Amino acid sequence: MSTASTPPAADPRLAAWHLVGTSVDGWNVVERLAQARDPAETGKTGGTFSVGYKVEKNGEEAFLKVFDIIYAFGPGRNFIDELNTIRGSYNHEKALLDLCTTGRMSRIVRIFANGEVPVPLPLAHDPSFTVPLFYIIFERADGGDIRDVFSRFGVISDAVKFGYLHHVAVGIQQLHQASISHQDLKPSNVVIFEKDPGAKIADFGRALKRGVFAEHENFRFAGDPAYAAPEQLYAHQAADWRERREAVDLFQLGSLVAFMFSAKNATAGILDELETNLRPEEWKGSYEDVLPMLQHAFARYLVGVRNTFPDWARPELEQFVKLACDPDVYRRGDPRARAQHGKPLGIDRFISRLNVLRIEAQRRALFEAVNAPAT
Amino acid sequence: MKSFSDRFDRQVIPGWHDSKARALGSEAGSLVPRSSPSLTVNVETIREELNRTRSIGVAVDALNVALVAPDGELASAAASIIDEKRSDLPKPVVDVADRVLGRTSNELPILPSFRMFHGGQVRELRELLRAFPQSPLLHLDIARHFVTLGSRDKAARAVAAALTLAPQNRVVLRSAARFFCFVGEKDRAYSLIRNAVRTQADPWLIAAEIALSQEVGRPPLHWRKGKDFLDRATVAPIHLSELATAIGTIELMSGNRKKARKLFAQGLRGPTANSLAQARWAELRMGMELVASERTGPQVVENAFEANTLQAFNTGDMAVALQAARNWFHVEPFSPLAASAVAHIGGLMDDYKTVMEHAELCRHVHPNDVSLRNNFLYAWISSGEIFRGSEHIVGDDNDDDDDDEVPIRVVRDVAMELRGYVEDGGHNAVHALANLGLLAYRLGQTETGRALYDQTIQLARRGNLATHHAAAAAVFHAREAILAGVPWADEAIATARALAKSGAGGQSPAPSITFYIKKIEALAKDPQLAPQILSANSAASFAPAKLPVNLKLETKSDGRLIVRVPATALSSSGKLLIK
Repeated sequence: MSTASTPPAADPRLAAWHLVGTSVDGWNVVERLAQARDPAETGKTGGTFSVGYKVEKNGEEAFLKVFDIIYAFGPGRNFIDELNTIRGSYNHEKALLDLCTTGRMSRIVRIFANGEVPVPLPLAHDPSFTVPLFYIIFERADGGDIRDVFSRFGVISDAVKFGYLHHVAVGIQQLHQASISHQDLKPSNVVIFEKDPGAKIADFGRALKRGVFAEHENFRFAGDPAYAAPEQLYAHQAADWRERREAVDLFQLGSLVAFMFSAKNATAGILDELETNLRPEEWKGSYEDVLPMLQHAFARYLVGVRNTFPDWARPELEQFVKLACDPDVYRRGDPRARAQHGKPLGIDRFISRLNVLRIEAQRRALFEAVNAPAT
Repeated sequence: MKSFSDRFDRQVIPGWHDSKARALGSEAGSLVPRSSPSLTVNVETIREELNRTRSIGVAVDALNVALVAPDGELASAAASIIDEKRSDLPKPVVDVADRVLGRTSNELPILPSFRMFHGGQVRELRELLRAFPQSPLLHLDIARHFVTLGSRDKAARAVAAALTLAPQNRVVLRSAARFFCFVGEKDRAYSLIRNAVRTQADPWLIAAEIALSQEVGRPPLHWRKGKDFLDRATVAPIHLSELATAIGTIELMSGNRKKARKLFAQGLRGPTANSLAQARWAELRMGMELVASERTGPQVVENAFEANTLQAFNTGDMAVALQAARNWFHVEPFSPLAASAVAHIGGLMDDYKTVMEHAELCRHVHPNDVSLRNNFLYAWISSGEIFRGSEHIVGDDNDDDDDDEVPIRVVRDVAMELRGYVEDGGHNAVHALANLGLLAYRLGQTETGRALYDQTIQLARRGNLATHHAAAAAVFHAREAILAGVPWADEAIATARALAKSGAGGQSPAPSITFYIKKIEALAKDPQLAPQILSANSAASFAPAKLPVNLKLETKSDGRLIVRVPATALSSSGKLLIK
């Protein structure tokens, strides 16, 4: 077990929010990163699962994720049950990351350390009564996340974009081969490394492993609903793991591809094209019944974003997004792969597509550089 | 002139709307209502991140989150940041930002012509289909436009594609059935619905099966299942609406008015545009009120243009009826009834320009509709355009033309065409013969005109036609007699009055007769005012007086006028609260 160098906060319930200036497992906590506002400021106790920090040790930077315990103190909550839930989430994520490390998954963020910091229990007479503050320390991406592409949108090359997307697809395949599904592949969870150039997938708080129970397995949205696949929005759960979980990852990969060029992801794009009464919060029918309208909306979205794809790659990218984001979860994926025994999604074929596009983009960039007029 | 409202025994044949309109109805919805899945998106994290960083990447992400949430405040904050960097960003996200910031142009687009509009729609849908050919609704949408443009083969292929993609989808099945009806393949439409696996468990499809069975003269296969659905009433009223009115229609046609009334009442608990129109038609047929007045507005039932047309027509408010009919034709251009409604009501209003322009719109979608052609010829002759326009002259051989100002050849061709329709018999013969009478009057051959109108009245009386056809012929004969100033004008007016009364068979005369005979009375008083009376602008003058909203006026066969007053308009002591 590791310890914090100093008591985290005056109010132990807010311990997870006040670690700057302390030391965790030998790492100095430097800065709290983008999160919702401190519950002490807002008076709210919900909505955030963890708190992130920048930490340093021997000149090396890392990312500290602390599981927030404030839920356990919420009114009307059973403290012991809540704490067990938090412990369960921590153990689940740690176990998945250990599998990733063991499996040498190159496109998944590495874990440096993990453990728990004891925090004195509020109102306890004996300071030796403590609650654990669980944490995981990851490698820190020095290039931010993939959304930063838009700050250099006109400058960053297609080759770089395809490179990132290829890495993400490889990461998804690595996870699927270990029967892990990420479930929350949103832009902020794709982190960029400048020194060792490339992209990796981060944040396994919502990930699931086939056959291993997790609290969020039963949630309608394992991941963030803002990036959910259509079947999740309409509360449809396929019986098969592949359609229920892996197909969501594929949808989010396709959505990310479209987002990189159009700045509009597929979830938002489809809902934006729907009539109000067809939106999930209004629709009284089933997923099967709304599906034709979703396909209609998806077609409009696809036509709207395809003009943002590079001319030379437009047919391939359009096909990629069409197959990966098909609103029909039972048809989503590469058709040739889906025709095979077991109906695999064909992630490998999507990787190949992105790799071909990446190489072609590099070739074109090189050609342009060579043929650029001398200044 | 032929009435659109008497040319059919209306059945609850499924409607066929574009996907956007379809989305507004419940036709696509599940029978068993489910609670809407809540969609709670945590926007606080990204809102805080946006406020703190004001990064363009976060703004782009936040705008996407705001669209899903939906969260207008977050969308505005993100859109403002995107707007500052708009030149560096892709169009789709800039467009959304502009919309959020209220920069979307409010100017109405210049409406293209009918064919240009549908052609443009086809191009847009083709592009969408190229991108995502798996969407059955896109195939149905493009089929609608193909039909409107007269490309029936292409439409058939698109409908077949939709059926291949979603062979058991309710919307697809019903739309395809409507298409097959339109192209005259009613047996195929019936087989499609009857044989679909889904039909026996779906009241929308059972309603279609029952309605189509009447069209093809077969006993309905799912009658008992349909009745069970209505008796159990375990699904929302809107899902049973078309079924109840479909069965109610059969009961009505079988003379079971009491049962029919009860079924229509059940059908109107959650009406669709189609069931509401059916009820309006039944009102005309039964001569009794079925639909409460508060149900009639489009604010209650979306796209209820047909019902609104029938309602306004039944009450004699022709200006409103024409506008509703035009809207109806806009959403269902392939509907012969919608096309006929515009032509007929336009003719009653003496709005010849509208009737002739409308005929041009219908040239491709209803190329062989003799009734529409008769309406066009009526307007062409009545307006006098037939005698003016050189553009209508067929060929340039005017050998027979002994008067340079009259394109005799055109007139001769029209007369021959009308004679052909008369010889063909059927319900178009009466209209064609009346048009010949009209043509004769306008050519100055008043005796011939009189004889032709007399023949028309006799033909209408002989045939198994709606009772007011003879009255209609008499009314238009009276108009021509007054305009021509012939000695038998008074006699013609008296005949029109008598036929309007006796032809109604003890009931109120048809709304078209009631409306137009008022024009005749005004014309008889002052023929000099013909240009004003026989113009589109005069319709309001001949519409029935507006009563306070909740009062109903009924004319009994013995001439008594009955005013029905709702309980809400009475005080507790029974005194009328309305002055």
